[in-house]
Parts: sequence; C-alpha cells; structure tokens
Amino acid sequence: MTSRERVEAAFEHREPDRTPVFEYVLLSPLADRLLGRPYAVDAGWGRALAERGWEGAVRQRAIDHLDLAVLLGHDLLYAVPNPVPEPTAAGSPAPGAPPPADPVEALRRRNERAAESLAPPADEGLLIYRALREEMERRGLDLPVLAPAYAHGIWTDTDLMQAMVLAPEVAAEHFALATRQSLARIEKYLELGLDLIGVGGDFAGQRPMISPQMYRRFIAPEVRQLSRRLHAAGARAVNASDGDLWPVIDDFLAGCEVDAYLEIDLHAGMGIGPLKEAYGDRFTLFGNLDCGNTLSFGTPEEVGTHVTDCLRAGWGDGGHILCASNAITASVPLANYLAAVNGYRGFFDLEPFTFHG
Amino acid sequence: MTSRQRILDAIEHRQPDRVPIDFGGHRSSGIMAMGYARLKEALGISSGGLYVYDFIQQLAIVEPDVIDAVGGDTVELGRAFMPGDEGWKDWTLPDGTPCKIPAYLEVEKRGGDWWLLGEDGLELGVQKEGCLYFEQTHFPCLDRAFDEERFDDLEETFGRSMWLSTPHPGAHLALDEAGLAELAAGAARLRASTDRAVIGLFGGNLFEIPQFLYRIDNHLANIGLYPEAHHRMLQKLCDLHLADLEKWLGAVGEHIDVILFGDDLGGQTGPLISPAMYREFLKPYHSKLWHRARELADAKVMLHSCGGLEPLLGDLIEAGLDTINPVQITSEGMDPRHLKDAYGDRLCFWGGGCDTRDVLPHGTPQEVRDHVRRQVDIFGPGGGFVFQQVHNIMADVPAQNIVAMFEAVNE
Repeated sequence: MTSRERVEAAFEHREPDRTPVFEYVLLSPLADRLLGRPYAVDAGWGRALAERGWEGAVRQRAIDHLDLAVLLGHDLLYAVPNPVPEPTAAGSPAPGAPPPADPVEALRRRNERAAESLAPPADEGLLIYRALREEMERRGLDLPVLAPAYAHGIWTDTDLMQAMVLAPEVAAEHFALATRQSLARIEKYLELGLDLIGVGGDFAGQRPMISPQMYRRFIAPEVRQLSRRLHAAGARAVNASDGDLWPVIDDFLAGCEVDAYLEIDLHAGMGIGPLKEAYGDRFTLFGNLDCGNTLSFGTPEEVGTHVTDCLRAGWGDGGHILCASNAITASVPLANYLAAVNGYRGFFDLEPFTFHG
Repeated sequence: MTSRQRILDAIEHRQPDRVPIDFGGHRSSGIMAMGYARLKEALGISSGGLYVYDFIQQLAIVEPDVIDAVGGDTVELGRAFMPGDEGWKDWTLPDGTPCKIPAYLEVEKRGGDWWLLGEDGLELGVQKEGCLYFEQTHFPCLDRAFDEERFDDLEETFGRSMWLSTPHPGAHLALDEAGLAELAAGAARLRASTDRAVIGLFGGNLFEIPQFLYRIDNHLANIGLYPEAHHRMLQKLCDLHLADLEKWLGAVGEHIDVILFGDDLGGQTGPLISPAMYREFLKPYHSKLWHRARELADAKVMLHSCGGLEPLLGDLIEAGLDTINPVQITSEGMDPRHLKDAYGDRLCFWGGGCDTRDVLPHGTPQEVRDHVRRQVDIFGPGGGFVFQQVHNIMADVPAQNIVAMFEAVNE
C-alpha cells in the first residue's frame, strides 16, 4: 500500500497493511536534532528567512516537512499556513483602543471587527501547500496533507465564555462569524487540492469548559456546516480538541458530522480502547500517544509498551492513525521519541530506525 | 464618646474623636493563638487564658484586658457564650503551648498531623505537621452532576464540609426554640455589659459555600457551564439564609451594632468573578439578604471579602453595603488613596490599616509605625474608617510589631 492508500483505508474503515503513522506537531529542538539543522517550521524560521528570503524560507519549510516525514516513515503530514511577509513600517496597523472590561461588549466589538475583515486567507500565507505539492512531485511522493481551519475553540477566551452565559446572541454571532471565516479558508484549501481539514478547536482540559447543552447550541451546528461543505467537495473533516470530551463525545463526532477525531487526550481520560469500541466503526481516531507524560517522562521501555498498547487498541477494520495526542515539545527526550518510532516499526516488522545524528 | 458611638460615627462618615479600632471583633480581625500568647506577654498581661475559638484558623479569643490595652472598640457576639472553662477541653498548640478548644470538636492526632473529624469520623480537614491552620480535605458534592441538581438536600451537605460544620461559640447553637432563647439571652447580657460595638457574625455566604461543597475549580466552571443550575443553587442558598436571618436577627438583632456577612470575592490580582458575572449571579441575592437584614435590625451591614475588589465596589455599595472588610491593600487595584477618593463618601473601610503580608510580619517596629500612620492619614479623615490590620495576625508575627501597630493608631 502507498501512504495515501493506507490513509484512505483508515478513513474507509478497511484493514490497511499497517496502521498509518504521522506526527501532528513535531517541534524544535527534537526536530532540529532529527534533521541535523534548524527546523524551518519552528526554531529555524528566522534563520531561513534571513538566508533565503521569504519565499525561499517557505520552500525550506516544505523541504523540512518532507525530510522529516521521509526520515520517520510518515504516511501523511500536518502543515499550517506559513507566515506572510512582514508589512512595512508604514503598513503596520496603529495600536487600537484597549478592549472594554465588560466581556459582552468586548466580544461585540470583536465581532464587529471580524465582520468588517471577513475575507479569504491571503494566497501568500498558503504558499506552503503549493511548495509541498511541488516538492512531493519532485521527489515522487504523494502524502496526504492535513491543514487547519480551527476557529470554534473557546480555550482561554474568557470574554467568549462569559458571553455564552450573559449574552448568548453575541456568542452565537461570534461562532457564526468563525464559520464564515473557516468556510472561506476551506474554499482556498479545496482550490489547492487539500482534502483533509482540521476543524473545531480546543474546548476542554481535565474537564470540558463548555456544557453539553452549550456545545450543542453554539458549536456543533457550526462545525457541521464545515463538515458538510467538505463532504460535498469529497474532502474529510477532522475534529480536534484536547481534553476530556466524554460528556460531549456524541455531539463532537456524530453531531458535528466529522470523519475523524484528533488530539485524543489520554491524560484527560480519553482512551483509544473505549473510543474504538464505541465509535471505531464510524470515525477515524488519530492518536493517542501520551506526549505530556509517557513520552516526556517515561523510560524508553515504557514508551515502547505504550506504542504497542495503542496500536493494539486501535487495530481492526482501519479507523486508526498513530500519532501523539498533541505536540512533541522539548520535554520529550530523543531516546523516548526513537523508542516510539521503533515501537511502531517493531510492531509491524519493519526495519528498525537507526538515528545517526 | 463610647466605643459603640465611635464605630457608628465612622460607619456613618462622621469624624469620631479618634480612629476606632477593631481587634478580635470578628474572625478576620484577630490573632492566632500562638501569636496571642506572645502578645499578652509583651503587653504584660498574665491574667486570663488561651481559648482557641476558631479552630480552623487557630484564632484566640482576644480578652477584655487585651482589647483595653490596644484601645479596641468592638466585641464579637460570640463572647456572650461559653464563658469560663465550661464547654472547653484541653489541647496543645503546634508550638507546645497548652490551650483550650471547644469541647464539641472532634480532633485526632495521626503521626505529626492533626485531623478534624466530622460525623462518623469523616475527615473534614487536616493541619499537616508544621502548618499553622487547617485545610479542607473533604468536598461533599465533588462527584455530583451539577446540571441536574435540584439542591433539595443542600442543607444536609453542609454537615460534611469543614467550614460549614465547625462552628465557633455562638454559632454552635441551633436556631430552634431553645437555641434562639439562649442566643437572645446571651446577646442581651453582652449588650448590657459593654459599651463596645457588638459585631454579630451571620455569614450568609453565596460565592463560598459552593466552593466548600464542590471545590473552587468545579464551582467556577459550574457557573459558566450550567448557569441555570447555578441560579437554582443560589436561590436555594438565599432562601436558606433568609430563613436563618429571620430567626437569628429575631433573637439578637436588637443587641448588635454590625451584622457581618462573608464571601471572599477577590484574589491577589483582582476579583475572582468579573463584574458582569457578579451582577448576573450574586448581586441580586446579596442585595436581597442585605436589605432584609436592614429591615430586621438597626445594624450596619458589613461584608468580609478578601482580595482585589475594586472593580466590584460600586456594585457592592448598590447592593446595600455599609462597610467592607478587610481592605486588602496589597491586592491589584486596592490603592488606599484611590479607594478613599473614589468610594470614601459611600463606603466605610473596615480594615486596610496595616499590611499583614509584608509590613507587619517582616518590617521593623518603626516601619510598622510609619506604615500605619500613612494608612490612617489616608483613610481616617471624615470618618468612614475603622482601623484593623488587613487580616488575622499570623502566629509568627513579632509581638513588638503588633504593639507598634496599635501604638501608632492610638497616637
């Protein structure tokens, strides 16, 4: 199977030859060490910009993305829009007035500004996707690319959270505007041939920060619109949020009409085993190696066992793509990350990965 | 001018003959028992005893000789009850000092830790070895699904929360016929025996009780996630408080000068709840309670609320507050000059007289004096100020600093 066929099989709930694997967000310094140079997607961006100019730096990001994917045997990759060229001093926006203290008024003003500035994302910010396609063509690769259209999170947005209680109509307007902005972004992605889109956004930690009733009222109908647009275009919607989602899991998956669940947060109680049992025949599960605990603070042996357990729990009629539950940050030791890579490779009798860095 | 009149003048924004002083008139203006023993020694007072009347906070009863020595103008209603050694039992403070605690408390030492026990041995709270006071360990409603709650058994859950089931003398009396009769008789006796302003501690907490039951993280999330259920809880709490208020003020109302409500609404960096959320959830109920108190008794309404409250003060005044305590001047927005200028004509500041976080424990006696003089110069003019250090004096505060503090106020 090619990587694309493997990923397709996972989404169509057919048995792949092996579970597809990728890394959602792999950051410096680990990415730098694996690449043997500063990673232009993270810590190396400034250097790439200085050495290669804006377009050259974006193309270096594409190269780095693909070099890591090839090195680690990934079947798909996740890429966020690239930074646009910095405005000249004359074009920089003037600092605005401080936001009102009243949370409803603050959100109302944000809504006004969002409505005035509704527009598709700038083409310059999407150069990374063209660069990835061109680089893959040059290398003879065909990896699906996951791109974000997250706009319906509430995490840390205390004005929004209070407005959901104090002035629901203002909160509803915020989410409706978020949908319009996401749809505009999705249209651009579709034009670029992307067919795997992240939707939703963070709304939970060790407990949900929104009630099931409010999730059904404010968020599910909006994300559903995105899913329907993506499905109409033959693309797929991947709903993403950290945290304990059990109280809203039906609405998060079926209610939003998405195809997959990303950022499955083991530390918050979201085990892939129970999820596979309840939803594995209908939704594809991305995850869920525990980046915050086992990968960061376990031993390499514990990491290897964790990977094996995760693959076993996710196996059966497709529907599983292995990755960490969220970003691989500086807290993850290289030895642990390599143990995760080789835990996967060992499970499927692949040659071990040997790191020569 | 009597102490009572001095306090009332201050609350009514008339300049009293001197700045009135509260020391130990309620559970946030006192002193921990270990520090109290040293203070008495520094004052040369050897009479009396050491009675820990607020066991959780390890607060000592401040005796009349000590109140006289510092020029205090207040007395807590609770001093009418459990006089002498009857109703008390022996205990030993963490520093080995013998003292007495209310006999109705169940405490048990396990290793180096002291546990406060409730009914059936329930572990309500613990004072870990080396710690100065008790921390709540059991939250009776922690695992309850909040959104579907009708709160029919709300009052029963109080008995399984440390803060709600560990009464101080006076509050240990049930509000039944016998208890109310004892309350009324005690309050009348106390009133007749003193010209100090009598402070009655009612409580009526609305923001804190859910924290005692559900834990603060769950409580704050529940407000946002389940606003209708939270309103149901507040309505139920308010109804319970109103019913108690009727009975309690019926017994003691004519004998007290100040009724104290409690609800910590602030933290070091500002309010724990935004003004908009305060107006939606708490203000209507606070207003109802405080206005009913005014109807039932000729007493001034005081709220004890720690922290940076400045953004809430306008709403608190509108809700019916006469005086605010403890005026935590080191918190965000609580600059004394700003507070006096912006709110001094409408609100009496009961506290803010001496910073208990840095100056009182860590300053020199001279630094304490200078600091207190500045605070009195700002808050004192035109009345509207009752001197109190920002909160209870901790066990490790040097006695000479406490003496310097009161000397500076009385200059």
